[in-house]
Amino acid sequence: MTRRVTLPTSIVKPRGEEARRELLAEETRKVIEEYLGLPEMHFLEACVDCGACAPSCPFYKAVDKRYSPVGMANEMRKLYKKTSTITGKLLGRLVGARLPETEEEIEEIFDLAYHCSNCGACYYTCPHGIDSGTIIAMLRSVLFRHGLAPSIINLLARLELRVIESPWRSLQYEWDRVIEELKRDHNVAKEGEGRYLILLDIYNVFVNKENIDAYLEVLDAANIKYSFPDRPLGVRPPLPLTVGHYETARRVANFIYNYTISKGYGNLLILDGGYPYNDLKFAYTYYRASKPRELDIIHVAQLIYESYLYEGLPAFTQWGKATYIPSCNIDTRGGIGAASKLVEITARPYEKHLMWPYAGVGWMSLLCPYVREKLSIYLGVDLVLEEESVEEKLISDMRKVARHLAEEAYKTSTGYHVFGCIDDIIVMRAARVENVNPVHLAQWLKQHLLK
Amino acid sequence: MLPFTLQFNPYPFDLYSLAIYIIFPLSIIIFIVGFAYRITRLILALRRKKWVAYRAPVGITTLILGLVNVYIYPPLFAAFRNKKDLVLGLMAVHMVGLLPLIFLLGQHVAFYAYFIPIYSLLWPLAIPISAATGSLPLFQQFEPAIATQPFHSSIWGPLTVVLNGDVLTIISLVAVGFKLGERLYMMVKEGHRPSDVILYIHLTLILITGALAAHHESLPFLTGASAYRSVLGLHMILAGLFLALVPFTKYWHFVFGMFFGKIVEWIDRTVMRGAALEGGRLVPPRRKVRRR
Repeated sequence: MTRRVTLPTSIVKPRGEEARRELLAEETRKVIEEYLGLPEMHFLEACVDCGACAPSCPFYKAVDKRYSPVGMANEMRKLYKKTSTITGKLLGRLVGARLPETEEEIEEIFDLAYHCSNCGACYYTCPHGIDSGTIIAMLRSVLFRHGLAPSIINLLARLELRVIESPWRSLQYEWDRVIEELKRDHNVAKEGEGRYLILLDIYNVFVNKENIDAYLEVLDAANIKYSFPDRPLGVRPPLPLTVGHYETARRVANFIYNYTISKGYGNLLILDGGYPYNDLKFAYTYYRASKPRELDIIHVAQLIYESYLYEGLPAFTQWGKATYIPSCNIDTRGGIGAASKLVEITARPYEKHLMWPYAGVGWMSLLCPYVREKLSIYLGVDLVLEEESVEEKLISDMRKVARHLAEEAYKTSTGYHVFGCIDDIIVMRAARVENVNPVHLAQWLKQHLLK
Repeated sequence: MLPFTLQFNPYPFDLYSLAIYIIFPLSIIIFIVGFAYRITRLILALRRKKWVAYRAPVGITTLILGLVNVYIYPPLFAAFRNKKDLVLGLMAVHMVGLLPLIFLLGQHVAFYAYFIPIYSLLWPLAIPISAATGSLPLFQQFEPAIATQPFHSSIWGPLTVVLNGDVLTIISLVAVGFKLGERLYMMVKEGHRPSDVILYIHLTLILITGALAAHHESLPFLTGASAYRSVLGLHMILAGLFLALVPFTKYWHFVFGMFFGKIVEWIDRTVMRGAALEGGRLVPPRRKVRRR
């Protein structure tokens, strides 16, 4: 089962502080040149440092005041001003334009850049409409080009393209086995016959299978025709976006788009929490992927909501007392209100958005021991944490965040806390949180819609 | 050869003349050029990269609710989670302090209306310099007889107790002082950019010189017959500098940045992605299912 895949886990770094600084400036210019559009320019130039975004960030609240969205995004602003603006070049540090001078400073920026789950909560609370997450993503891209990325996420991101382009035999065997189980239990249409192709990836099938099962049961009851891909469509696509590796992210996204179209589907159905939906549907111009016009990307919550509401299928069971905990990008950047609406109408009384703006941990759950263990087995790679690495610190900080979020959730008076994303539940389990009762949206819907 | 207007000026080379005839026109030119420069950069950036990835189907209700939400959500959030900045930042500095002072103080209305006649439409809303009359100095004693008919010249009525130049200046000074202290701390402890400290010192100086000029007070180093002209001139020079700095500093947010940013956010979140309320709680209209 354990098949070793030889891939570079880190990028070769140039030697010497001066050389690294020069390289960092050069990489910043390239990222700015390639990805600076109107909104990004506004995000970079219009911040007044008021700090209104800070309280919406769980890392700021639960871990350290250093991890405020504005503080993290300012690291990119410093680079941008120094390399790409007239005032920054003329006035330098006076206006906050500077390049890091020592190795320690670069490491510090690296640490800041990865204490952001890019959930989008700060976008909502900024009085000037600035999306700090986008700026931090640009910073990660600069760091990636500079040779800095968390080794485990970097490895998984690099592995993603390999997984979808040519999955190796043992992986394909395991994949086929699980897919056969799912096909046996659900009304899966034959290839080309379903209306929706479900985006199934390694993470969903091997880590989140019980919730996928629950979603499929609900879809079956609504008589929705769906099919599965014949291969894993990535580890958790487009994962390379997380480390700012846009070139690979573009190839991954284009592969998924073309694969869906080539199999004869016009609808790609996303069962995941929020990142794949937002990244494949809305963010593709950011990394220059080209989604065909005839392809639509739909989130399962919206499809279930539409099916059950408009088509008059089983009546809603108004039962329970729940709080909906919005998952990261699905609510903030995805524009999907259906997930919270589904909880609202399946629970009474329902506590609306007491947790809002909630910021989850998103991709960071990939670092949890449980997830690493699962992925290590199926992907055949060693996902081992290095001593005193950024990842190790991130895991410890994630646990603090999970406990903080649990405290916030506990303040709500409901018995159940319905999460739209498995990541948050995994992290809460990893933190051994006991005072909340996290339920995945899929399980909640299965329990109440199919009663 | 002096310009015509300066030939009959008894103090052609004092700070006031400098402010009126040189600094202010220059500031306006710099402001216009800077404004055009920033707008041009945004337009070029728009042409450079495709902004919008996808357009979600949205109805008119969603569009309206989304537009309202992008403006009201940040202060609402701050009211629950960030009270200190809401009170001292948004309320004291902006809503109660600087904005009424800059745009509605009687002396300022008179000044703006001289150059832009239509501005005189705001005269009914003008704010007096003190609670009692339009001219009383801040700490000068006044007769109780005057206080019996204190608000006759202001539409604000009893609100004049707060809405007057003196009180608003004190509120602004406290708030700006707080922000200045905060930025100084950030600069020393976290290596934050010094330009913010300079801008807050600049704002403080504008407020102090404005208060002194309004009360015909002077500064120790400004003496002689033209002391008042010098204080007022200093205030106007600093204000002119403020105007010139707007397109190049964080002052940009209150003439353009904030309003533009919210429109950008609205287009991004509501028009394109279909999110109306926080978390996209309003369910988007029914989607047309593609049949292939």
